[in-house]
Amino acid sequence: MKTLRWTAVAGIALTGILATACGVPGAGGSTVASTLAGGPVTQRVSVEDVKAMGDTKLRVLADAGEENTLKALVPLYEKKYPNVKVEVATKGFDDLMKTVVNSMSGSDAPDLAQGNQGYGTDGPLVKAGLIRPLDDVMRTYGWENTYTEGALKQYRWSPDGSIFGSGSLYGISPATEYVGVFYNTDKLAKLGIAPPQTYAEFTAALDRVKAAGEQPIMLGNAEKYPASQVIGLVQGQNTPSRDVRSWITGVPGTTVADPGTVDAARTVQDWAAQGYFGPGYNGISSDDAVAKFGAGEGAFLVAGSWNAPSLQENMNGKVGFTLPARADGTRATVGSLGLGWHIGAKTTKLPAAVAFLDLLMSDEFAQTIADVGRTPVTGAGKVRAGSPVVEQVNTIGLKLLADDGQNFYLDWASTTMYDTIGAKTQDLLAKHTSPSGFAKALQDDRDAFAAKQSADAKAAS
Amino acid sequence: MTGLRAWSARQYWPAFLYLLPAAVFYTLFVLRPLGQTAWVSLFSWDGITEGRWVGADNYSALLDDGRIPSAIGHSLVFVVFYAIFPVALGLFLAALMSRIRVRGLSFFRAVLFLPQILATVVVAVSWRWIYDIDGPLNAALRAVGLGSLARAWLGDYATALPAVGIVGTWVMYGLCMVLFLAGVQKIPTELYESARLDGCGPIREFFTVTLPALRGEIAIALVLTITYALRNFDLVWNTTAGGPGTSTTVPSVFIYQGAFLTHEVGSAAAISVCLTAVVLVVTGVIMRVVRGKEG
Amino acid sequence: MLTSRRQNVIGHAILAVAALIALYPFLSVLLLAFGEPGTRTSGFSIPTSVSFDNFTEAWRRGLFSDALTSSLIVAAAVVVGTIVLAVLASYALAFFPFPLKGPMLGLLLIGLVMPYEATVIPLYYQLKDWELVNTYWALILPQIGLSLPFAVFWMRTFFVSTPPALREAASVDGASRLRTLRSVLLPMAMPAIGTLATLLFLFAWNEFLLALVLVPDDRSVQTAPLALSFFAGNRRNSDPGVTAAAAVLVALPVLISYIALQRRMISGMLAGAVKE
Repeated sequence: MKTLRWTAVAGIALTGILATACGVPGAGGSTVASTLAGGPVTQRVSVEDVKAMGDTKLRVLADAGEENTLKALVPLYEKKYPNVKVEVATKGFDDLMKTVVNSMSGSDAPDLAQGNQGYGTDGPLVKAGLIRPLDDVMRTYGWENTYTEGALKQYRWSPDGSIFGSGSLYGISPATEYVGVFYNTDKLAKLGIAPPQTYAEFTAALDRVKAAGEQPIMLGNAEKYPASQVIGLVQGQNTPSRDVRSWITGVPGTTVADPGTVDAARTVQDWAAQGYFGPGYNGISSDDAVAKFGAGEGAFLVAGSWNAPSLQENMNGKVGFTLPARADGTRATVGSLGLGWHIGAKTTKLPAAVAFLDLLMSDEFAQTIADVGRTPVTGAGKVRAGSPVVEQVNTIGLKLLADDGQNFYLDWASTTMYDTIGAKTQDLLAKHTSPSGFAKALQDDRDAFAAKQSADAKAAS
Repeated sequence: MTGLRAWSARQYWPAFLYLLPAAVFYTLFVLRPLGQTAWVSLFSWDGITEGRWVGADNYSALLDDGRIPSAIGHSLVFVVFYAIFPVALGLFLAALMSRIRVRGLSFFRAVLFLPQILATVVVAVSWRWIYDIDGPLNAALRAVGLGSLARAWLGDYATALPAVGIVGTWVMYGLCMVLFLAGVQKIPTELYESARLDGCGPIREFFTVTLPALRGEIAIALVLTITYALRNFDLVWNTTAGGPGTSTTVPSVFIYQGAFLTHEVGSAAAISVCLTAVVLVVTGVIMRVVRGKEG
Repeated sequence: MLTSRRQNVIGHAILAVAALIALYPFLSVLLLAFGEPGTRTSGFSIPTSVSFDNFTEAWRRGLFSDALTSSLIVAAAVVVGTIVLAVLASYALAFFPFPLKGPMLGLLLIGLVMPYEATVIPLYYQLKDWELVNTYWALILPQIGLSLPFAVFWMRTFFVSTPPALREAASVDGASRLRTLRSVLLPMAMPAIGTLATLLFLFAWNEFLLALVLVPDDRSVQTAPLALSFFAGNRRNSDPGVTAAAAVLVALPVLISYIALQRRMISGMLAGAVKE
C-alpha cells in the first residue's frame, strides 16, 4: 500500500517541520496579575462612582440556571446605574464549564463570569490569573458577616491556584443549594409513615416503604453523578464536615478511605442490592427521575434543593422536604453556595462590576432570589417562600449553614474526580467494586492529582 | 525519484497551481494544528498556563493506564456496529432499490438518509427515550409477552455497548445507502441486461455486477464509517457518557475529557496522536483489502 | 423491468419497514415537541392536543433567529469554498502527473482520519492570535480545511471513473486543461457535486465542538447546534419538550433543503444517464 507508507513518512516529516516552529504551549499567554484590577476597593461604590465612568457596557457570562435571577436583576441595575448597559450571555452548565476559562482569557473578556468551585474550573481561572481576588470587596461590604468561614472556603485559593480552601476570596454567590430528601406526602400518609426528621427515622421509613411493596427512593443515575450525592448524604451522617471538606480541598495527609465514607458506600450499595432504587436507575436521567417522582413514583427522592419549585408545581403541593439530622441534632450534607461570581482580572469597569455584585448580594434583592425559586443566604432571614416545601428548603438551608454542615462536592477534589466518582459509583451500585475499592479509587485519583501538582510546582520553581 | 530531477520542469506547474489553494487551507487549518497537537503531546499542559516539558511521559503513562485496553476493545465492537452492519445494510437496500421500480423512490431515499442529517444531540435525545425503562422498546417487549427482557438498555452493564452500537448502525446506514445508490446509477444498464440474459438470479447478479462496480464506493463508505467508529465521541458521550461504570468508554472520550474537562491537554494530545496512527493503519488495511492494489 | 410482482411487493415492504425505523426516533422527538410544556409522553402515547408553546419558548430563549442565520451563512460558505478548492485539487490529483503525489494523498488521509477533538485547542490559540475568534471566519476557514480530505477523495474517485475517451477527445479538440474541466468534466460531475454539497452542508450545519470553542461568547455569531446545546446541556430543570422543540428547529432547515436538493439530484442523475 503505497499511500500508507507515504502517509507514515509524511506524518513524521510534518510533525518535525511544524512542531519545531512553535515554542512551549501557553508560554507568554497569561501570567498571574501582580496588581489588582482597578486598584483596591476601600469604600462602597456609589452611584456617582459608576456615573463617573460615562456611558459604558458591562459584559456578564453566566450559567443558564441564573437566567431568571438576571432577568430580574439587570433592569434594577440599569435603573439604578443608567449609564451602564448590561450585556448578558448565558450558557448551559456543561457548555459554560468547557468555555469559561477560554472566554476569560480572551482579549475582550467578560467583566463578570461564573465558574464552578473546585480544581476543575475555578482552579484554572485562578492559576491563569484570569479573575480578581475579592478580599477588599468582601471586607468593604461585610460578606464575612453573612457567611461562616467554613462556607467561604469554597471560594478561597492561593494566588497560584494550587491550594484550595485557604488564601484569597475569588468568588461569591447570594444563594445556597444542597442535597436533601423530598417525600411524597400522600404516599407516606397512606403507609402511615411520619416524615422522617432523623437519619434513624429515615432508614426505618425506607424499610417500611419497601416492606409495603413500594419503591423507597427514586433515583436517576444516567449522568453518573446523582448516586454519588446519595452516598454524600449518608457520608454526612458518618463523617465530620470538617474532615470531608479538608479532603476535598486537598489538605495533605487526609483520606477519603475512612470508615465513615466506606460505610456510606456500603449502605448505598446495600440499598441498590435490595432494590430500594427500583429497576434501571442507571438508564434514567436525573431530570427524568425528578419528573417520575413528580408523577407519583417512589416515596422519597434524594435530590438537589433546587428541584423544590418544579416539584411543588407538578405534585400540586403533595410534596415535603427534609434533611435527616444526625444523632446530635446537627445536619450535614452535600451542598455549597451557588456557582461563584467572579470579576475578570482584566476588567476596566471595576466600579460597575462591584456595583453589580453589591446589588446581587443586597438584602433587598434576596426576596427576588427566593421568588425565582432559589434559596438566598442574604436577606437577613426575612425572606418569605412561595410554598411550604420551598419554605422547608430555605429554613433547613440556613440551618445547615449555621451548623457549618455544607460538605461541598467530592468531585471538586481534582480535575478528574468528577469522572472517577461517576464511573466508580456506578460500579459500586452494580457490585463491580467493593465499598473499600470505591473509596480507594477516589483516594488514588486525588493522590495522582497531588503528585502532578507537585511535579508542576517543582518545574515552575 | 525521477520526479525530483524534473522538479523545476515546466510541465508540473499547472498541477501545483490547481493544488495550491486547497494546500494553503489544508496546511493552515488542519496540518498546523495537528503538528502542534503532536508537539503539545510532549508537554504537561492545562491549555492555559505555561506547559512543562515531559518528553514521552504522556505516552508511557498511556501504556500504564488500565482504562485504555478496555476502551480499545469497545472501539472494536463499535467498528462492527458503526461500519460493518451499515455497509451490509446499505448494500442490501441499494441492491433492492436498483432491482425493482420503486414507487416513491425520492421519499424512501430522503427518509432513510434522515438519521444522518440529525445533530447527534437530537439522535441521542430520541434514542435515550426509546431505550428508556418506560420507553417504546420495553413497551413493545411487554406487549409481546417478553416483559422479562425489559430493562434500562443504556444503563445495564450487559446491554449498554450493543445498545449504543445499534444507534451507530442506525445513523450510518442511510449514508452508506446513498453512497451506493449514487454508484449503482453509474452502472451501465447493459451489464444488468446481459447478466439477466445469462440467467442470473438476484443474488448472483448482485455479486457479479453490483458489488464489483461499487468497490470504490464501498471503500469510501468503509473509510468513513470506520473512522467514525474509531474516533466518534459525541454519540457515546450523549447517550451513556461512557457508563455504566466504564463499560462504553472509547479512547476519543478520554481525548475530549482531557481537552475540555480535566485540563490535561498534553495527555489528550498523546491519545489523539496514537488514535490517528491506529486509524491510519486500519484504514490502509481496509482499502487494501477492498480495492486491491490500486491507490 | 424483469422483476416479478412478488419481488416488487417484498421490496416495498422491506423499504417501508426500514423507513419506519429511520423515522421513528425523529417522530418521537416531534411528538414531544408538540406536547404541552412540562409534560412527559410515555410508551406509544400520542398527545391529544397540539401546542406550539415549546417552539415559541425555544425560539425566544435560544435566540434561534440569529442562530439559524449564522448557521446558514457558515454552512453555505463552507460548502462553496470546499467544493471550489476540492474540484481544482482533485482534478490535478486525478489526471496530472507530478512528483510527490503519494505524500500528498497521504497527508490528506491523515486529515480524513484524525480525531480532531484535541487539535481544537491549538486551533483556538492560532485563531486567537489572528484575532478571528468570535467571528464567522473562525468557523468557516477551519471547516473548509477539515472538509477538504473527504471532498477531494470524493471528487477524485469520480474523476477517475469518467471515461478516458471523453478527455482524450477534448484534448484532441485542443481544449485547455481548464476548459476540459469546465465544459466536459464539470457538467458530468454535477450529480456527484450535488451529493457532495449535501453531505458537506450537513457536516457544517451540525458541527458543534468547533462552534462551541471558536465562538465562545458572542451570541450573535453562534450557530444552531449551540442554541440546541443551550437546552440539552442545561443540567438543572431542563424541559424535555423545549429541548425537543429546539432539536426540531435545528433539524428542520437541513431536512427541507435535503428534500429539495434530493429532487434536483435525481433529475440530474437521470439526465446524465440518458446522455450516456
